Amino acid sequence: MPDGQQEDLMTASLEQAAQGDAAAFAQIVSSHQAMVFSIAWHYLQDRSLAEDVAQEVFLELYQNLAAIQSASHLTYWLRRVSVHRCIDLARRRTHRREQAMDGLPEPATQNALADPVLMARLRETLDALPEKQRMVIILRYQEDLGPAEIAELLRMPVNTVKSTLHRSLDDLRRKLARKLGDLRYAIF
Amino acid sequence: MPFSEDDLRQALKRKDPGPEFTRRVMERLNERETESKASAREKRGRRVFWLPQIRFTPALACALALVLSVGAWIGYWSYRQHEQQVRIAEYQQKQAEDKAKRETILALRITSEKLNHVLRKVNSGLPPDVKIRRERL
Repeated sequence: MPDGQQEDLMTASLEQAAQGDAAAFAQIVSSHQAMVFSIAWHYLQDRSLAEDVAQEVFLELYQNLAAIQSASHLTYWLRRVSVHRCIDLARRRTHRREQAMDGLPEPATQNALADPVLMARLRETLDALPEKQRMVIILRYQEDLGPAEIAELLRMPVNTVKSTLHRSLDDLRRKLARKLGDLRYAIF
Repeated sequence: MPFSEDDLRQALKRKDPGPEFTRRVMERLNERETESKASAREKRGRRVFWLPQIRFTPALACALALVLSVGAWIGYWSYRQHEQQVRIAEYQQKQAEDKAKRETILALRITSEKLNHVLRKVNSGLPPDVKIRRERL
């Protein structure tokens, strides 16, 4: 379906949901659940917490439906609220994880061609990055946002976003190299 | 092992929480709405009399303070008016009492003069040893 037509459909769903149509709201949830859940999942690395955050974001959306003007505004609103709920939760919780990542089934992805070891290591290494750096990387590579859009979402200067992104990639490379070096050392 | 930006994109690919996610959100939404309706009913039930919910905003506080100060000023003004009326009534009563007193004294003086005059007339017609002594009021 073309993007314009999809936007029109979403705007119509928004109007119906704002008038109390539960089916229209369910349609909105279904269309955006992967985006909201993935931001929370990649940031928190905890499936149950990510699901809680995603559900809270949609419940908050239901209360603010009247303020959402268009489909693009809806996407922006959901991203912004998800990002801030994740940062708030990460600040509140101590580093105790209820369930380890390895013990849980991986949520469904569409492409399984990539090297699974590298993917797992990348995600682990990303989890070790500081909060702001992690969120910048998620927004850049999961949501494909530019530095200006990230800056607006995180309320940071654009130059800070650019430097954070650069530093985060360096940190990721360094940490991943160290991790893979340790792995090689353990195998041989 | 170096990684490319595409590897990072692949690692951070959007993941679907599953087909049941929407149903769980809708269930929580229904639960929340039921809870809020129940708590609203409970609040209404607890009230003995129906009173509107009032939120104390600065504007409402200012309006209340204004109403109270105007009420206090009107009360004080009515008290002053009442006091003034009482004082005027007392003054008028005192004036009337003084006038009555003055008139009583004048009437007694006139009576005394008349009696003295009668006494003089009587004394002038009697022998000296039976003259009645004149008493001044």
